[in-house]
Amino acid sequence: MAEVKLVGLRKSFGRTEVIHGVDLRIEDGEFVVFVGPSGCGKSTLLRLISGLEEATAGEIWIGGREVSQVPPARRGVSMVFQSYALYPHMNVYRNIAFGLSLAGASRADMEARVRAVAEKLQISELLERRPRELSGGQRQRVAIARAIVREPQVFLFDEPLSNLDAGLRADTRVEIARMHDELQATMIYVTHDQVEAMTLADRMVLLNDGRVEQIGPPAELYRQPRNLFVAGFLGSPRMNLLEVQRGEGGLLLPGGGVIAHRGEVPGGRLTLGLRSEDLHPASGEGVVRGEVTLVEELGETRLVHLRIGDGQSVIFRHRELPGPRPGEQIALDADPDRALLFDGNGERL
Amino acid sequence: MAAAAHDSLTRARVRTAWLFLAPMLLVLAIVALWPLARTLLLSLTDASLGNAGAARFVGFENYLVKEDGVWYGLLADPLWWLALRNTLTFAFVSVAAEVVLGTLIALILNARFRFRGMMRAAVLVPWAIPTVVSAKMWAWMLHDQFGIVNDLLLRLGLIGAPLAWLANADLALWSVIAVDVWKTTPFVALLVLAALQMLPEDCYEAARVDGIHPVKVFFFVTLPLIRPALIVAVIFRFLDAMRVFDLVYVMTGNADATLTLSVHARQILVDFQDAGSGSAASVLLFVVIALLSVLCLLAMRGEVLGRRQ
Amino acid sequence: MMALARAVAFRLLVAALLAYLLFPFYYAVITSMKGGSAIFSVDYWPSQIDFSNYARIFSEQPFALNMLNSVLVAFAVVALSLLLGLTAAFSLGRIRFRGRNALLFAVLAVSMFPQVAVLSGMFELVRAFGLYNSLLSLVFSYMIFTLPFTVWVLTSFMRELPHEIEEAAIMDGAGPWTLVVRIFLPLLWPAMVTTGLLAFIVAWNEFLFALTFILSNEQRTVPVAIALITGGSEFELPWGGIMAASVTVTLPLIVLVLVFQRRLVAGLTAGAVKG
Ligand SMILES: Nc1ncnc2c1ncn2[C@@H]1O[C@H](COP(=O)(O)OP(=O)(O)OP(=O)(O)O)[C@@H](O)[C@H]1O
Ligand SMILES: [Mg+2]
Repeated sequence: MAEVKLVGLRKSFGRTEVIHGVDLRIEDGEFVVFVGPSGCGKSTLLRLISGLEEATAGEIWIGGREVSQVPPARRGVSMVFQSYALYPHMNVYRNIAFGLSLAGASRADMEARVRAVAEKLQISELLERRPRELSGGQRQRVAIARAIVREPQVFLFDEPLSNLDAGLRADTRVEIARMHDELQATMIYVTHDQVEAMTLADRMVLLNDGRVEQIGPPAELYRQPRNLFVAGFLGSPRMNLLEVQRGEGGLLLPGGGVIAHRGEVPGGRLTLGLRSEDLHPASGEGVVRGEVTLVEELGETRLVHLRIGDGQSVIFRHRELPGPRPGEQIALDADPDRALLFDGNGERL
Repeated sequence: MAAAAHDSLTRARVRTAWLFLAPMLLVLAIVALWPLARTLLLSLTDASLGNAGAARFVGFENYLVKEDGVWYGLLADPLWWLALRNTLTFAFVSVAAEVVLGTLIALILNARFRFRGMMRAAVLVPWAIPTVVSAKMWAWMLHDQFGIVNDLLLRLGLIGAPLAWLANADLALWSVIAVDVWKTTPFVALLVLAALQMLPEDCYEAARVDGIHPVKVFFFVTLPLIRPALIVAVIFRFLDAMRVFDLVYVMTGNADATLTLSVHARQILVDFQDAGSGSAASVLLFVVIALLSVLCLLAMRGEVLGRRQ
Repeated sequence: MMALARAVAFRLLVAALLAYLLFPFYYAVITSMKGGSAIFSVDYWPSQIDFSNYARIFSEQPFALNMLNSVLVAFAVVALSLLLGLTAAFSLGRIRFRGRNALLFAVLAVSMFPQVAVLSGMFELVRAFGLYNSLLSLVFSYMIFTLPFTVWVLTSFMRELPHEIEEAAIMDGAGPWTLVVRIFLPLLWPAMVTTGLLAFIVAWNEFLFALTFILSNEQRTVPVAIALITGGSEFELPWGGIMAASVTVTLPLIVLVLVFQRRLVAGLTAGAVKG
């Protein structure tokens, strides 16, 4: 088990730099998830750690060792690929054993370890099959088994569940969490799925265009985003972002509502962030008023879209029955403690 | 941490690439580059085959030299020019025939009918038969006294007396071309067929719905679409035909009527044991083919550019 | 009525084409089974079934030996070109480095070399290595034909294999040699069969080098042996024997081609269309 440390890591493909200096410290046994928009460099960062790509500058430390010049197989890392990348011409047993046999493990040792891992992942009956005779979920287990059997210090996952259907994805997610508890290994996981990221991560790393925007526990990124990018990226539906003005006794919302605000408020452009679940129907005047344009029924709750004073739209999560109808006028209250305020540069105050 | 060491893994991989290429490159250098260079060098000497040690440097004498007001050397030899003419005729005519016939066969093979599978297999047969065997088979069929071709034509009343297909100087080159066409058309047909099978169905559906005559469809829809494949086939075949040796040599030996550049060069080199002059003839053939290749490449590039615009 | 006429015409066309393609071989078979003076009469149908021509080529000529020579040379050529071609294709298809495309182009250029252009140089080399009149001279010199297309076809197939499988193997600790032998070789075997077959056919059919570098009857390969068959006397027509020999060497090839029809066509067109 090992900690992973990245120092000033940069990567260019030809002339274009895609990782612009990343510093990151991942504790021993931690589960860290990389998220970010498509093309922001998540896979590239993971591949730099694995050694499949070579950094242009910077240092990579794994378990107290600088590994930038160490070949992938000797970094003590295993990788699970999005496409599983099983060897199509080998049966499951040989797929799992391949790395061990290359490392010169004895037959008996190899057999014992492969069987143990297969047992753990419940694929013991599949050992004689070829990858093409397996379902997607089974292939995924084999890929994970292949990663585990080498007993690496660090596991790397690049969107391992994105080829699975929703049900299987949820099951496998739970299983990966269980595996992490059991192995106590350091895991770095790339995903597009925010639920996956939130549920699995000890800490999340939000990347944007080759830079780290924020690092922290999922709840912290969700509740205390450092800037507008983080605020807008996490959460579904997206956080409501409204332009506000400094006014008497608080902040002036479009449409005339006022929300209390403690502390200093600078001049210039201000943006107020309100999550959909932090808004609720008001008994009185409310802070946000508008006309219902759309209701998305989700079963337990529903998302209500409002058009407010200056034409902006606000989404809130409605819980009680019956839900509002399009065309209705509604007033909403917001919890001032949950509201976030961003300055003209997009930084949270 | 030295900044210079930041690409050692990449460098190791590139080193591996060269290491894995080395055996192939080495062998290719030994069997292609070195002999070619030696041939070039020998062509400037008066070496005899197997005795290059005693060779004397003679400059371009093997190619062209003026002595006492008379031109000597290959380029002054009418036989070389005859060989060039024969070779060009052979290449142009046979490739033209192969492309026309090959396209026709490909169209037939692309149609849906009962024995299509069998037909596709049959097409491969002439291609699979060794050249020497085809040459012998056809030489026998074209035999002046006992050949089946003469027999057939006589029975059909198309000729009045048996023809000496391979001995008659007016017929020999055409006979050889006919055999080459028989043997090589399948290759062209397969290339064209592969191109035909990649064509989108919907053009044809549209054309059929519009009631356009199939011949028109071929010239205005199919032909432009398979043009790139045809051009590749033509270039491949043409450069190949320029080197023709086996077929001609086995069917008609060193006879003047069918003498090609390859046959001519081998004759000087091996039969006359004249390595100097023979090498010069080889080099000339190489130059002719290199020039044609460059022309073909330019034509192809023009084609590509033309399509872009 | 029109439709029927069209169908009949199409059938006739197909039949004519089939006759054109197959008749020469058919005629060779008939001729090969004619003994004695029957050879002097032209027959369109089998008139005799007489295997004396076949018996004669094996008893009066070292034809069995020639066949063996051809087989040995062809197998050696296939093995060597696949080995060299596969390792080269790994570099050219899988690793980025400067000069890669120039190299591919150079290899292609070699396949345009006229054979006679290297003949005198190769002859020298063969003598220098002491390979004159030895089958090894053929194995060695045939590389000039087989390597270029082997490298091209295998490289184009190599490029199509998914990257992640290779990367998984690298993570598992596979070095380049392990990658080639234990990952790419098994994945590429269909392409290997195709290119191997093409190399086999080239080696089996080659004539000029075999004619030039081999002196004795016992070392000759089949094409040269067939080209040099002559009658027992000046007045005897050797055609029966020649046709028997031709049929003997062609049959295995035809069987091979028909069995591997699909793969061959794929390989032929891959070399040309993609290149
Ligand atoms: N081999 C490469 N050569 C050139 N550019 C590359 C290469 N690999 C990645 N890139 C570029 O680097 C950037 C980051 O790519 P990367 O694959 O890391 O993104 P990602 O965050 O994983 O995206 P996604 O979520 O879509 O998987 C992209 O702009 C991509 O185009
Ligand atoms: Mg990615």
